[in-house]
Amino acid sequence: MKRKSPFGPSGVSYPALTMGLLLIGAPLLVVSLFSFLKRGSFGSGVVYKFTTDAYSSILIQTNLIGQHSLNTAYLSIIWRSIVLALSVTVICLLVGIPTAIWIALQKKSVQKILIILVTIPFWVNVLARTYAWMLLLADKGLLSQIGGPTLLYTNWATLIGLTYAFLPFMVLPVYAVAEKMDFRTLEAGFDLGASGWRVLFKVLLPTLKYGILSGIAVVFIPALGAYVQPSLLGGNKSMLIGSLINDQFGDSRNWPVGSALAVLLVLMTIFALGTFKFRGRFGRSATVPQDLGGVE
Amino acid sequence: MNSRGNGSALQIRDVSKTFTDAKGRLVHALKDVTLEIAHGEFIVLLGPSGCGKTTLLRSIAGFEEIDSGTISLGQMRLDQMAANRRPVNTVFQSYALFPHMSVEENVSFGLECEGLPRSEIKVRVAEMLDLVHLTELADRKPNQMSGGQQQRAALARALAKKPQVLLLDEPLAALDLKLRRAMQTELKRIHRATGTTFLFVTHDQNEAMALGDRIAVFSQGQLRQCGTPAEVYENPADEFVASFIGESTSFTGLVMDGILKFEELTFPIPRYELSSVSVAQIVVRPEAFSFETGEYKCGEVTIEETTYSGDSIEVIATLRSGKQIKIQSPVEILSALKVGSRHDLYVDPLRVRILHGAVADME
Repeated sequence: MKRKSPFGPSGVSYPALTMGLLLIGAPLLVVSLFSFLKRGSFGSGVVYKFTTDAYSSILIQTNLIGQHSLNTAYLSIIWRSIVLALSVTVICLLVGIPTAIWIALQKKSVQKILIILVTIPFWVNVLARTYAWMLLLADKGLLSQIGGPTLLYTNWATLIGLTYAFLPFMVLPVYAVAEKMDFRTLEAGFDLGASGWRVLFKVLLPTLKYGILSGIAVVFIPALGAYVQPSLLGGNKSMLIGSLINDQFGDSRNWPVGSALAVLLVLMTIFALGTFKFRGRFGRSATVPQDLGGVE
Repeated sequence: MNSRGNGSALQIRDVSKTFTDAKGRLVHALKDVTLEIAHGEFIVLLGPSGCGKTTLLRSIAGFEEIDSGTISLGQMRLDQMAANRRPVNTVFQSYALFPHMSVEENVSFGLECEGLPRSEIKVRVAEMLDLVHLTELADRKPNQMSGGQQQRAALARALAKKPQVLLLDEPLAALDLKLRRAMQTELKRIHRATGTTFLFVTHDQNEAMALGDRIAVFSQGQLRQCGTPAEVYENPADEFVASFIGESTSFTGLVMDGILKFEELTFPIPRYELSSVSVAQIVVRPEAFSFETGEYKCGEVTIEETTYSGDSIEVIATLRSGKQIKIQSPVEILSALKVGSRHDLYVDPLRVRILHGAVADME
């Protein structure tokens, strides 16, 4: 009874596969290649000659008289990026999970409206939204006018801007799972004698696990490589890895180092995914009910 | 083990609860409900949706707060207690099994909350899974099981806590008819085996009759009648109970010398000494009527419709005014009951029921 695709069983995946190879695989390959090449003369482009200079220059600096020492400049930027991305993720978790649950508890018609409200920021270009935050956080901006501190060009501004930008990415996947959740299970938890904390950590959060893991992945990873908010809101004083890569291809004209940093970012991302044991939706639906027959 | 009449286990006294609905109207979910449930009893709360039966169950479980009245278990006041401290457990309509846990983990959850030692939990869980015949599926997740199996898991999870009262909120509603019948038998077996007090909520009168030691019939937040299935069927307290449990036709008319007159029909009222002139309301079950001679003759009716249902014929007959009467008749006379034909209608005088409180003097 199975309908056959004219291109064989996997025929339908060809377009997606082609897109993936062209738009993700190929650039990744080029970047990896560039990271092992020599910097071109006058700083533009690359010379096709194998070298690991780019990687070693990230870790080791050589002073004028030829002494080697650990280069902490890049490492501190990477460390700062990780701390900031983690902070953004934690704040998004703390705000996003209750928000998603609250939305899921509303009437269906209200839920639809609330979800549209959550996605409204996407309708406006991210640059425009970030400029709006600059106006709010700047010296003599709205925040300082009402007596608050001037946060623009600090790490705090970056944190606010990133949290604002990525919060919907936490709310949406958590909501997707919460919306299908049977909230009676929480009552069942209390009914069986569990405390509020126990219901939270043994029933509610485990049930929302896949939404939360997806949320962490789609917030942490882009936050780690974010470029727009750090450069506009954080300024140059608190550079992050995203702006650093941009600078290497732009002002610094060092494509191999820029590529090497990009490769490091990809590796960090893969490491992060591994840490979260991210299995997404694939792991969950792998088990198909085997016996749906009668009980007797 | 089943020890009925051993003092009451659960006492519900004058319990009322109101809430405002979406349109801002005040709704009486429960109105002065008083009910005593004996140890080991299987009581069924029956009524249409919105009648308050589920609200009462949720109030006993601790998910709803009552406005007034008391709910107590022996000497223990339940209504002031937090849900997670009450010695009652619930089987939910949606089962509400924890989706990320296996059957075994679901059943042990409540015992872990009590802080029982691992070894004891293991023994108790095995015992419960054996009771509901789920031992083989202990490692399954809820979404790998059929509705009936999930139902058993939910039952085992609640019973593992050895509750004083087991609350079952329409637990069979999601199952198909055949499975529901099988589960009813199962529930009775488990009730006998555990000796626990069962409080079962349903809107299905057949289910209520099949399961309950007693049935408490609810309508619009009020307890209309509580009695054994035979009592509520044979002696309904009011028209609502009569119409909700089984089929019946009600007649209101003038009573004179033990005879009630309703349009062109008359009914004998043998058991009641009524004042010479009064108005009474009676209800008659379809099977109390007959088209065969021998019993009391009510009058003549017109056959409107006949439905063959295997072991009997369901007949709808009309009076001249158009009033419809439900009659159950043996299949043998199907050929005689032509639609539109007129027949003499007889009634068994012993099965004519006067509704309590419906008797009133005429103006």
